[in-house]
Amino acid sequence: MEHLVAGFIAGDPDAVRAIYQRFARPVATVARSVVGNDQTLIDDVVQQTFTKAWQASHTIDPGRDLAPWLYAIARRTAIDAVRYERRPTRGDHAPEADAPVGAPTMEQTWEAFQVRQALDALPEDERTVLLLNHVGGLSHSEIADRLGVPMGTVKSRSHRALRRLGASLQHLQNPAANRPDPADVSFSREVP
Amino acid sequence: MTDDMSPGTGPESEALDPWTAHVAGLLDNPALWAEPSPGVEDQVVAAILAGAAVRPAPPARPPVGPADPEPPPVPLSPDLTVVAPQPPRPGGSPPAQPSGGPPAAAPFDPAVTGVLPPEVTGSLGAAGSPAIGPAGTAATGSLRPATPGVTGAVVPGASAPVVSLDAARRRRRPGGWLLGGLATAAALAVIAIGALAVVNRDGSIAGTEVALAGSELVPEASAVAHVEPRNDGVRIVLEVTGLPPAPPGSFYAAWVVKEEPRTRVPIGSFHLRGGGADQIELWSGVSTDDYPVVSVTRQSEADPAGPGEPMLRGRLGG
Repeated sequence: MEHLVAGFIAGDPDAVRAIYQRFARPVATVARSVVGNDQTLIDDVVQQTFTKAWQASHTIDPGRDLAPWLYAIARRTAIDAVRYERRPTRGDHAPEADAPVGAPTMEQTWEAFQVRQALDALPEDERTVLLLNHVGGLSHSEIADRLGVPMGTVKSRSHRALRRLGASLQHLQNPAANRPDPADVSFSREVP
Repeated sequence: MTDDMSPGTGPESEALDPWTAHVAGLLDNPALWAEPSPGVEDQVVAAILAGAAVRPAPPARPPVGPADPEPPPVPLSPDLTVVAPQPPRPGGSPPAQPSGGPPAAAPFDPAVTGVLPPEVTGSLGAAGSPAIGPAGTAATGSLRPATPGVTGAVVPGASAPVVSLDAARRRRRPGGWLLGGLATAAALAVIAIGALAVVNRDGSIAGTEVALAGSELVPEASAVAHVEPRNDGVRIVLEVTGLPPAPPGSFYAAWVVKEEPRTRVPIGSFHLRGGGADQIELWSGVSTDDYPVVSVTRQSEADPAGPGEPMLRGRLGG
């Protein structure tokens, strides 16, 4: 990972792609949590998050976990995006005030970021079952039909996936521990 | 447990320990399944690659792995190339680009930015568009010299921040929030040519052309704004394509906008109901150096000063 971070800082395309592929979906999750179901805005937030991260990458210690740092940039970027979208624009030339943004709390979005990381770490076949069930709204038998596998296989994949998730997210049971390390990033500018 | 699990948190979760069942419940949050669109990765890589080509060396840090501080530009995909840095134009920076901008290392991402390939940095022909690559043509319509008698040479190094010119990809506010964000990216030298400085034969600046993209409301619409500073103000001639006539009771308002603090200044209004040439002359009393965004909104006559609906938007370098 240190090698990737060093490559990211240097602007190495392969490293940038690797970092992107590792974190783009959790960043999209944060974006979706804040901006809502606006795919273009989500894309904008994702793009901005990585470019801002690269701009500030000289501050990264390659030995530290990138996740909390990228998370914080993503959340901040998403909130700024929503504010920009909601700014009233009047013809009287008066400066505009920032629109209030009722974003999910930092804890909620950080939890979502981590759950998404855990989801991405699942084997593809297990994640697919969860996706079809929770997003597609399909039953196990419908998933079995869709994938062309026995229903028992679907059930076992689903069960294994959930157990893996439960195990990998045990640390979320302690809310106090589920906060990004302040040493990783400053949250002083977070919106209440 | 039934054989058939209901969608979302189903009976199967009952067989799980409480924590895992709780986690299963979290999965109904649609945000957990959000995906960036496929093209975003290439945009990010192109932006960072372009920035890396011009960024000063970062502060020294202990070497970690075989990191190369100056990686050579690498083609990202068949659709992405990096334009070689251009030397500054002899005679100094063009006034249309007061900041001068960083060296022009432009990511060529036709799907997103509609920039010009390197060969176009020579000159535009009389009609301009033939010399422009397919992406530039598709995204911006034709680019013509702003005034008769100019050569239409594109100033090397006259770079501008990225403007999304792919109206089909962009949403209701193309470049809306993105433009604000891309102002930051400009510092990154995320350079594409959204504005072209047009020079006279003697090398003086005759004006600048800015491509405007249509919003989600009119994704097929686009425009080119010819911006020409004059003694009495800034003359802006807008050539619009694909913008329907404003319905009765409404009109189009054109603005120049600055972002910090966000302020917009009206530069004229029009309706396009006469079936004319769709070339609108507008005048700005404020400098486009300070108000670098050109936008068009649709206003209701009942609320002419209201925010309106975004129709077209583009950005000058600034």
